[in-house]
Amino acid sequence: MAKKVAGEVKLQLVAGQATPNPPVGPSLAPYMINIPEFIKSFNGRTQDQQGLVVTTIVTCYADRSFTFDVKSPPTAILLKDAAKLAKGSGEPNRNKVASVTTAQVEEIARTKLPDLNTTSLDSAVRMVAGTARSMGITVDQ
Amino acid sequence: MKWAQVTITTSQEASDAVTNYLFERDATGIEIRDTLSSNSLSVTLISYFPTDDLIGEQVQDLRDFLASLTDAGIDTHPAQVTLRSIEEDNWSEQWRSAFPPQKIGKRLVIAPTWDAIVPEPSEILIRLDPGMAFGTGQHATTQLALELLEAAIEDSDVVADIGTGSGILGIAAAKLGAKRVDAVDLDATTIPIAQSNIQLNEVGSVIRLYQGDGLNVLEKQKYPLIVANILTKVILPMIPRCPEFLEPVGRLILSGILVQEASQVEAQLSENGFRVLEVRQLKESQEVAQTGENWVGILAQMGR
Repeated sequence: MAKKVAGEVKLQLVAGQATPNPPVGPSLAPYMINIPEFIKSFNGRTQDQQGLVVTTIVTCYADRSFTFDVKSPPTAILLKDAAKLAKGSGEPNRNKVASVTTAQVEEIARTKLPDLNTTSLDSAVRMVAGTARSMGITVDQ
Repeated sequence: MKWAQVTITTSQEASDAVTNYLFERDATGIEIRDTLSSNSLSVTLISYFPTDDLIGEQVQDLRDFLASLTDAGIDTHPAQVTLRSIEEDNWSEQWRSAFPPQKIGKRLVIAPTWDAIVPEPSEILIRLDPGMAFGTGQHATTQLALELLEAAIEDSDVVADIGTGSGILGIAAAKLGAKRVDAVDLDATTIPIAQSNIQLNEVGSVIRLYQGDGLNVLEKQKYPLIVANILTKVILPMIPRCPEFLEPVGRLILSGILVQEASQVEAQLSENGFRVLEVRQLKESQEVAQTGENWVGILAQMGR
């Protein structure tokens, strides 16, 4: 089909728990796509990750049909998981709340690499380390 | 119900920490917009919270968090935070208003299942709910292909529909009298959607559905009519292969062609032994108003 893209919407949502409430409703409403169909499909496709935050990119076409992709969980979520941490620091400048190893940072960078706008593992590692620092997580050398 | 919409514009470096911060404070989800301004990528995060008395305090906490990121040596520029109240809207229903029944060509009517339309005796009703497959009937390219199909199809034709998407063109061909339709799509996710639309329209005995790459998945045979609503870049290399699959005076309907690409497609048709019978544009193209794009559909026949 002559699929012509009208726009893309990037969302972070809790897997398996999307509803028409914000942000889904107001962000997709301008494209007039079938929102209940998106919710049903998204919740179905992410039910194995129930409760985890995931990134999804919804591609809306000119005839108001759509498709969506589910990407890897956000770096912050993977870091909290690696550090066995419930919550990031509210004051990352003063309050360091956990630590991760460089090996863990590299593993997260590898997971995230397909979804980042870089192909270099080094720059992906730097991004992950930056996010760790911004959450009050130190990286052990 | 009212919702508090908290919008934060910050650097890419800080965005992961900020989204995490928002989720830890029970954001229901976040819309992320990447924007390139003055050579640096900034990220706009649009988050939502059920409005309560504490929202002002929460926004102040968020500003403090951004400041602490800056203190920790993380670039947060431009670190803008805005708060806006938005009214609950009927988000799960309002999109339906974009799908009224549509009359296309002389007899075809496309309508969603929730519409109680009763077609005129002369009309042919196609039921189709919009969803995750292209071909809702709302795009100029689909409308042009349907108009040409209605004009060109002959009773008991065997039709190949290349790039079927929602199945709309194959279903229309079946309802317009085709004896058999072979419908193909490359995208595996559209196949079950096309299948369910075929069942909804009770044309399962006429249509065979294939997943694969265009003409390549069809068994070698001669069709009286091939219809393809794809884009020009896919159509151009497909044209030289069509004669193998068409009867000596077989017809080819092509859509997904922008006005400025038409001469290129016409030249390719002519080089491959086709005669162009019609180049059609929509009379009042909504598409022109919406996107400034103008499409054509082409009907061609084998032989000169």
